[in-house]
Amino acid sequence: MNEIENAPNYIHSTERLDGPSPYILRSARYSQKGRDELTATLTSSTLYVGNLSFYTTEEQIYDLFSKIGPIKTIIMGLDRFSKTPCGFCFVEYANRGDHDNEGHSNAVAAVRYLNGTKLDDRIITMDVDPGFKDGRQYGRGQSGGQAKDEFRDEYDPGRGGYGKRWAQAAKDDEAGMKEMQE
Amino acid sequence: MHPDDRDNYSKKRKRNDHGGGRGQEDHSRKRLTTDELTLQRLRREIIEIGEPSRYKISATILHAGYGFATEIENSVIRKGLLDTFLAVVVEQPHKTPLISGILEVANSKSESAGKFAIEFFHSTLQESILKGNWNKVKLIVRLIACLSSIIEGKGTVTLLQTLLDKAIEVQQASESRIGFAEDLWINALLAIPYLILNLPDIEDIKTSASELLVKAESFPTRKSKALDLVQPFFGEKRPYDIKEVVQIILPALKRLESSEWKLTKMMDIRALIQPVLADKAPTKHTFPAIAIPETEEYSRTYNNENGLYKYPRIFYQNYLPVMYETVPPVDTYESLIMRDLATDIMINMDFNRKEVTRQLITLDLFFNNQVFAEPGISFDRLSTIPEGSSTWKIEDVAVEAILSLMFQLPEMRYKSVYYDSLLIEACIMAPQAIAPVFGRAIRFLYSNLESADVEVFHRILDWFSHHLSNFGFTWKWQEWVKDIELNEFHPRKVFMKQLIVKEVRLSYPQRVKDTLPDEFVSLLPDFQEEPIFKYLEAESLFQNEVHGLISCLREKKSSEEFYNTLNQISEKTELEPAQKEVTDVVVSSVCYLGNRSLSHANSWIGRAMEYLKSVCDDEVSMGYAVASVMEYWKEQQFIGVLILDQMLKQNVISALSIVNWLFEDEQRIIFTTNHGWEALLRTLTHVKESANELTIEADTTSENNSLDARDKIFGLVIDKLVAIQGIDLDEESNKWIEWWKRGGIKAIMRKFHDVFSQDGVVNSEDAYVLEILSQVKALGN
Repeated sequence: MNEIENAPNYIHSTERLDGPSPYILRSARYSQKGRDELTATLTSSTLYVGNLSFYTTEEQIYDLFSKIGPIKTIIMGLDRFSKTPCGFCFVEYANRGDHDNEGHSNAVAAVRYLNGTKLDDRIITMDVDPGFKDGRQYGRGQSGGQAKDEFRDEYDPGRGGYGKRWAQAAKDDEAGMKEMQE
Repeated sequence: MHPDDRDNYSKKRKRNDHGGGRGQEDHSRKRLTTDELTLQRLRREIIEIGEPSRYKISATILHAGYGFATEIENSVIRKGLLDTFLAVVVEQPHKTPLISGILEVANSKSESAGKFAIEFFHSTLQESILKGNWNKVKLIVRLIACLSSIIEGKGTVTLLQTLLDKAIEVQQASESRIGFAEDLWINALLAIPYLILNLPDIEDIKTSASELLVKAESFPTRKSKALDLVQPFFGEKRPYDIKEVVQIILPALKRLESSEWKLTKMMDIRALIQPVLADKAPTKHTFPAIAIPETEEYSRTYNNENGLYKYPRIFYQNYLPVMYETVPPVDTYESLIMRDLATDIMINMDFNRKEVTRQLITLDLFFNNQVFAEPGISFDRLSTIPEGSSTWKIEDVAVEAILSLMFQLPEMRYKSVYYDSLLIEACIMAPQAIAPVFGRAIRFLYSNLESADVEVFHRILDWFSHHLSNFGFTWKWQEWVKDIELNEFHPRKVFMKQLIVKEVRLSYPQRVKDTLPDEFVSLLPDFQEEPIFKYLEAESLFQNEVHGLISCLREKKSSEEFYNTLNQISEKTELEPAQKEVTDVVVSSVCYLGNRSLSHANSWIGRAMEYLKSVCDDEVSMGYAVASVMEYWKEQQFIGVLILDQMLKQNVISALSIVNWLFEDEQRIIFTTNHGWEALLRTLTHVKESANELTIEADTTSENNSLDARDKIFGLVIDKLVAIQGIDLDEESNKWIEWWKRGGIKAIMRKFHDVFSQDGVVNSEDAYVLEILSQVKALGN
């Protein structure tokens, strides 16, 4: 993958907005798994969509992303414990027989044209994903949702208020104080 | 707009290095070599040439030109900079004259720099011709035209002659329009002003330019028979008469010729570089002849992706000169050049929509500074500017150029959301300057909906609803309040209602309701939180049985039990035929189980596949199934049609059953609702794609079968469209139904022109259908 990462590239007059995500590029530098994932994003038809509101429905997502091309499936990201949406999803574009890797080019087009625009009044982010594997639909944060919602210190009504860790810490503090007093 | 604002959005993108991906930030950690640093510094100067800067343009030209010349023996830097020049010429062609200035200055410092550059562009041009990349050919030719002062003899003129000769030769050999020939011809002509631009005082070049015009006259312009098919507005009330680029260009250049080739609108590059060049005669380089072999092959492979003239290229107009002329009149060379530049920026840089937007709304910087009114000036303030000054607004030029690609027919070059996002970016970057321009665009489109092509109607709807969803759904609805009383089938009424529905689909009912004035709330359809499942309601005859069926499905009980229950229902029902009730029970139970989301629905269709197929065993029962889904989802039909699509893809129901349902409806939902129109297009696309897939793998017999099946459905849709009548309605409704019907026939036949233009697909004898058919067949030429 060195050529993607290092090759000086002067064929464009400005940066591309549809390249691999910094996250994947970083992990490709440190591990084979990362390099495999980076390779996968070059052909993958799956899109990772982030920063959704917990209340955004699959139908809303369908309506926006089907503007790009036919969708095979949408997998909503869920809280590991409560099984409710926790603010991300995967959109897999369909590959039809006689269109050369249509799904992948649609996923790239989504990143190009829709990344950073709004859905349900929120700016949403997206990246071409190495491909969905079972289990990835669940949040990886300690409290079940996405890790980014653990530590957030500003209030986000679309994503469950304050970060869960802060909320928990506040509770613990209170309990600790009580204990000490007793 | 405050001048500082403009500086702000001009400099916004200067985060990373150019040219890399989003991971570029990591490079900063590495130590760069001196070569790399020099290269990056020069690259930036070249790329940003002409943009707001604390240095004068002439100083930057000098700096970049000398820089290139100084480093010319360093192969890494040389290669990097040549690639950079090419990238700018192709992606940001408005900077081409400035690039030519840099190269000229470089040539004056080191003739080797000029030589390398000319050789590089010569070989890139030849390569692009061989690859059939005609858009790139045009843009390189334009640079070469600008460089005529450092090209030996008549090298540049010969190049343009070669292109014209080829264009004329190819078009003369054919009675019908050849897009490839038109492309070559127009692009050679568009290069002529650039030829003059850099050599304004040399009489020789003016004579050559006039000779080129004489030559160009022998190009036999063939009028396309499909011209009517590619206009976004049509009919007696259309806002303007359509103009084809191919018809405008030669007269425009002749007018320029009769004005002694005075390029008053273009930036005066000569004035910028002359002080540097002094009176020293430039070293000239040979530009060897270019070969354009095997033109039949090019005509065949010429398409929407490598050129702009596959279909007749027309001038879309959104800002007609009402009170003030805010965009250049269409038939002038400057309007052709501006529009062409804006189009190429959008086409060649779609990988960075923010940069595209930024360049589009600052395009005025690359023309003579008297050409445009001050940026961001409001329409009202145009009245205050002195007599004789320009009233052209760069924002109008930019928005019009974006819309012209958005309404390109028969197909768009890129996904529609690209154009949506350009307009979204423009409104974010320069809200005060763009928002009113945007508003005027919408007003123009809305007031001309009666003349709009049906496909364009839907594109406007898609774009506008998407746009509003990015800006909190704020719109001055009050402007349209008088139209609430319009006939239900009037295009403006349909537009308002469907805009609201589309907003809801990207959001939710209460959100949209809060943004609507009271008068419009009645247009918001009722949306139930969860659809009612009639079989589980208290008055249902089959409450117990359906509970049984559902638990069979949920608990994966034996199919025997399931079928037994179905038999009980079949015996108990009073409905004739009983099959209708049985199908309805099974299909609506599956809808009920999967009502939480599309993927739930999908997975329940999969789990209940055996039962679904057992009840949907012929066209009649598939028809019941379609009706059943749509009854269950009657409050949210747009979800219902997506469920139908899933059932179609999983082979539970046929395309025919969906088509039948679509045309059965009293409200003519194909015309009055988005979901109806979308369902029709989706179903036809599915039929077309599956036939294609089957023909790839299958033997001849089944290939014929799948194509036959496709042709039947397509033919049937046309028959059904023709048969639509508004007998039971009042006169005005009938008038609009007829409007939709004709527009619908045109849009469908144009969209699937590859299928319809084949023999035997259309059986209708209807005069209008036949007229459209003949246009559809002429589309490619």
